[in-house]
Amino acid sequence: MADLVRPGGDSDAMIEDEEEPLILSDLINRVLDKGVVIGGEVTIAVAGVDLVRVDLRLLLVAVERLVRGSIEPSA
Amino acid sequence: MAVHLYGVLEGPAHPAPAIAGLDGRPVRVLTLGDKHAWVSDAAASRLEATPKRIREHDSVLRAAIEAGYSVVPSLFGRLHADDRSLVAALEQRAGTVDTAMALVRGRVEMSFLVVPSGSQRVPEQGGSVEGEGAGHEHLRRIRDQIHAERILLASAAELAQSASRSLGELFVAERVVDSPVPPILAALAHLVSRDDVARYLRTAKSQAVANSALRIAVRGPGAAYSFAAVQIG
Repeated sequence: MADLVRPGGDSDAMIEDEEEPLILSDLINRVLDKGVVIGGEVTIAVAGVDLVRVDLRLLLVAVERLVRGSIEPSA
Repeated sequence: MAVHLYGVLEGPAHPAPAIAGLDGRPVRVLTLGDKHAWVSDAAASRLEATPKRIREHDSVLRAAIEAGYSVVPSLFGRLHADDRSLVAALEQRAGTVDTAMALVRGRVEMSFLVVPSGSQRVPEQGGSVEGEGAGHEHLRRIRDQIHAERILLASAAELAQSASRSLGELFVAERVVDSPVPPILAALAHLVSRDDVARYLRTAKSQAVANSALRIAVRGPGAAYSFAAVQIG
């Protein structure tokens, strides 16, 4: 079997590679199904100063999904 | 073994793409008449949404966009029991998928974002007042910071509105993202014809940013999650 190729790098025209938090925030805004719980934490920084670490679950959680704690198959 | 759906694609028939998807698993193609569903297997019936997996999901669809497909993306967050049940669910919703495909055919999504520039700290207003304790000073700083952040958010919203007017002839649909996740202060999603992406980027870059505490970032072209996403399950 041929080696799998990681899908192409970011073609973002105005976002640098190191802007991972920004890319992730944009994806969270658009890509997640409603109610999905995302694991992990992000550090929110304004003006270069780390302000607060936020548990992403606080931003995205829906009660039903919180109880389950993960995604389950639909059928 | 459960199945993860990336999206429904339309384009020239291709062999299965030799790209890695979620958790490095190969992307497979399921045929749906004249369309294709890109999927990969999930190791377990439960799948935690992590930043890495969300990026992997998006990267697969961006690869499809770059390869010239029209893409009706699936939002991240649902697994399907197997190929058969997924195909059955998609066939049941064929009319909806067709409508979504008609909307995104030849089009992509661009994200217009307003974010802190990092060049200016949130100002600390007012100094300590003689006779006040440390507690009062602390509370005043918090108040001033909240005030400064409100001003910044209002300025970001104004910049986004102005950009929306400038970009108006270059998008066919717009969605204003409600309460975007920080550090994004204001966000617009635009559905743009592939032919207009270069002009869109030029116009976005040329937006005047009056507030030095703000800057513009643009992501794309990507899949049109904000306009025509599949949600099955």
